[in-house]
Amino acid sequence: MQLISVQFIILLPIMALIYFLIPAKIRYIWLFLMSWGFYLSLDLRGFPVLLFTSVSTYVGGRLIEKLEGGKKKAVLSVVVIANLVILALSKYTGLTFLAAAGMSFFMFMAIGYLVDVYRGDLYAEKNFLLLSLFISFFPQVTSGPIERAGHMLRQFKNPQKFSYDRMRDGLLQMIWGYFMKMVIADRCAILVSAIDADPVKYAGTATLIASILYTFQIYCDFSGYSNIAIGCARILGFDLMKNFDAPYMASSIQEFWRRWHISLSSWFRDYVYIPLGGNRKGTARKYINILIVFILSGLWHGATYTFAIWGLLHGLYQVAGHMLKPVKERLCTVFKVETGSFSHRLLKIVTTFILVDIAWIFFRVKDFSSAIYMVLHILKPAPWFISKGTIYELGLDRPNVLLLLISICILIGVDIANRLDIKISERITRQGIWLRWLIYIVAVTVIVTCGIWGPGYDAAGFIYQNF
Amino acid sequence: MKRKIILVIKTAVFLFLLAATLFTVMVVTERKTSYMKNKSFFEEAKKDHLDVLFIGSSHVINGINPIDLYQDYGITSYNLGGHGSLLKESYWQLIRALDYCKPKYVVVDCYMMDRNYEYVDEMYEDTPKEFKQAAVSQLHLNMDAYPLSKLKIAAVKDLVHDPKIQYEYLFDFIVYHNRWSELEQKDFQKLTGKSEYNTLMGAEMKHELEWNDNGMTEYNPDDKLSEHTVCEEYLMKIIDECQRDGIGVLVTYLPFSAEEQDIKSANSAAEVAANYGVPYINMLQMEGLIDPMTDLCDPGHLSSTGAKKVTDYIGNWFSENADLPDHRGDDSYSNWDKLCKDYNKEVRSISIKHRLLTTQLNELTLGKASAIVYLTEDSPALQDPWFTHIISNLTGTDRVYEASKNHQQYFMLIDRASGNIYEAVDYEQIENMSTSMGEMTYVPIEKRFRLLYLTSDEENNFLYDDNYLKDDVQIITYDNESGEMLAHIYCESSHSYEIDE
Repeated sequence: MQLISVQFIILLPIMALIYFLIPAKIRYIWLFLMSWGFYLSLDLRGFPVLLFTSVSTYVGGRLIEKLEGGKKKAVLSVVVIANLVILALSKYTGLTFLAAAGMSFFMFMAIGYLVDVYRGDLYAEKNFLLLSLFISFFPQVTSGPIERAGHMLRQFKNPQKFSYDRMRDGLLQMIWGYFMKMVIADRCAILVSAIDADPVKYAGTATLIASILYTFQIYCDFSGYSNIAIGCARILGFDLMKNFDAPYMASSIQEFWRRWHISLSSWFRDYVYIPLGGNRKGTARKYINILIVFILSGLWHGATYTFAIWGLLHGLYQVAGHMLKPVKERLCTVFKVETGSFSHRLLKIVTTFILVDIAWIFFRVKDFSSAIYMVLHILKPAPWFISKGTIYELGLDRPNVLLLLISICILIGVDIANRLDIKISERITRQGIWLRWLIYIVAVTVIVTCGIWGPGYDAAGFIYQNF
Repeated sequence: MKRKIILVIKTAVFLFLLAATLFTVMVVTERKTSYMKNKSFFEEAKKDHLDVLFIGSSHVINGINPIDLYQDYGITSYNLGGHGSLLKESYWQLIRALDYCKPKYVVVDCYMMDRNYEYVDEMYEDTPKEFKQAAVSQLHLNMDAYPLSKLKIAAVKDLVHDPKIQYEYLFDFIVYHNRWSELEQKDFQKLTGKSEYNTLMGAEMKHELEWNDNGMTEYNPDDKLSEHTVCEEYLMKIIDECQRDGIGVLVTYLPFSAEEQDIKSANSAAEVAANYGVPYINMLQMEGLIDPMTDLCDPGHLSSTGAKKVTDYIGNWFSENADLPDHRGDDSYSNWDKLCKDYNKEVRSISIKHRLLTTQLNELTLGKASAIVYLTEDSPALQDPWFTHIISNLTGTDRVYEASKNHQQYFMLIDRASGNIYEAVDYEQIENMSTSMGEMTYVPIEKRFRLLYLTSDEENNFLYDDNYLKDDVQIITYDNESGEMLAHIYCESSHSYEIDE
């Protein structure tokens, strides 16, 4: 069962209704059962891995709390390494029997918990079901957000009463998530896969379009999932951390990483970058730490070296950004650039977008030479790809391409509003009933009708679920 | 408390509006072919107007015209044939249809009885994927119009193996929501109940002819299927079902350009019919029933003229062997009369003018308009065996071949009101031709000049026009009764038989 399946949409209200009807004290048991049931329906073969992580983390946490000194460290190391070995073996050696859906996510959550207990930031959880629920909470188990135990365990122990406003807000966020995933991401995927299947056949403009669309595809796919997960949790009375915050509105790579996959970036910051010394041990060490973190982040996504190159590129972007900062400031002074102007900010946003876009090419291709070919191919424009209508022969007809463009414009509009701290959902809920309802009904109708689903569509595919 | 009640009511109203909107969208996006095909079936079945049901494949859809059957024999029937339908699908089509009506006769065609697989989405192991996809798509024609019911679920489970595909028939919005980008006016018209629908009681007539030699395999009456097939089993089930319900059964094998396995199927079907003691009409074995060059629109399917002959044969059979009431003249069947009028109008329109000259000439054999045909002596059409065959088929004589052989100009007039047919080859003259236009005279003068005039008006020459000197074929059509000229077509047949519409 997927978050975008009909079964899930039918089951969620039933599960939520039962959740709010049973006594608050035992609700976490129901949530736990739902979560394991959800996981079993999704990946029966991967369940032993989830079970291993849950048990080892529970036992490890209890021991770490009880033990002192070297033994404490040893237990932490053993449990963390055991989980990482399973993760590495399944990812990098192709031992599929060790693979489990969402293992990169729930193992990182478990490791975060163990480190927190080790550092004394958190008491070890005594209730196995509660800890297991934290690791396997169904909205986030397959693709995050990579939550922190302190934040979630507190909420599981103090469940909220049913709130109409929370339900409405949660539903709105889910609708937005479904829109991003089904209307934008999966529509982009059709064009991108058609062009990627034979990039030599199509002109440079096609490669350029595919690369831009992939940029939106991966954003809408992952952010769409996060919105569904966060919205779903909100209906049940839980607040999950924000995972995306208008990342393509970032005006630097550094800012991009504060807005993209926030839960993973902050996890690497807290559990890798800072323990490595962060920026406290001099500039050179800081740059090395940045590169290490980003290469690891790349490898977290997959076994192939292209992911590492993608991570390295982002690391280099950041290092270059730091190193060139005085030069940029000098140039701005010499040429009297008004750094606060709209044009300057726009230029920075567009430059960041281009850099991110180039990096995504390495992320999506199978080898380095294909990526280089694509980058060079983009430089050979052929606008007739659009004017002659070839673009309409790649799986999306004219109305579908038009819908895609309109949807991307809506997405950009919403992200600009987010960047300006305008909460669209709040604006909608403040409107009169007829307009609110009209917006809700139109949104659901567009998703259900124009969303990519049904025969020929692989419902298994959230890109980040594979990581 | 009051706030809670208001919230519940608001939520209920919202959900109702959302459901109504989604339902509307489902109605609009649904593929309309099944609805169009079956709309009249549901209406006529409700009125208990259907005495005969035809089931089978596209051979039935294109081969049996219930409108002709009513017009010529007064028999009311519905054509429930499905594109690509095997006997297993026909069985379920019948079972579903019997939920709505109880006919006096069921006519089942046995095409593809050699097929020996259970599921349309699996077929044989080596069946190409696109064939399976086509079969899955075609089954929607039979299924979509029927509402969700236990029977429909049973049918889908029996016909389709993959549970995912089964859902596509039970909740077809899964498939059709993607149609949003191709919606037409007719999709929205369904909301008002004014959308187009099949006006031939389920049949589809193929008027356009394509050139093919449609060769027939030699018929061997001893060749039979080597195994008991799934489809044979379902033929037996169909007969069982009808006999249990007291419904007469007629088993047929409609004609087409059959291959060896079809002949085997036809012979095995004869055995099944004989075992059950039900009548069987094997048209594959009836030499001369149809003319393959004009009565097949492609090797597998009957053209409208072929369908006319086959429908006539079935009508005659019913007249002689079944006690079916003649509903003509009954006021409660007046909509059938209207549909007959509409169909006649369509045939007449094709007889007067059609994109393809060959199709028009063939359609003229149905007698809805009278015609004059003229071919110049150097006309390429005159040397085309297919074209001359169609002319010969129209007149019922071989005179056109004479003109063809000697490269001589050819003239023909066929007057439906009087039944007169006049032909002239080379420089033969015909005087005092009796037609509904009036008395006419044909006088060929030279290669590029000939006269055709009303005896009462010698000044007006019908067969000469300076603007069309290059055209070697002329067809004039006129009304059977009033003689009013309906169209004058010119064509340069060296290019093709296509004319500007």
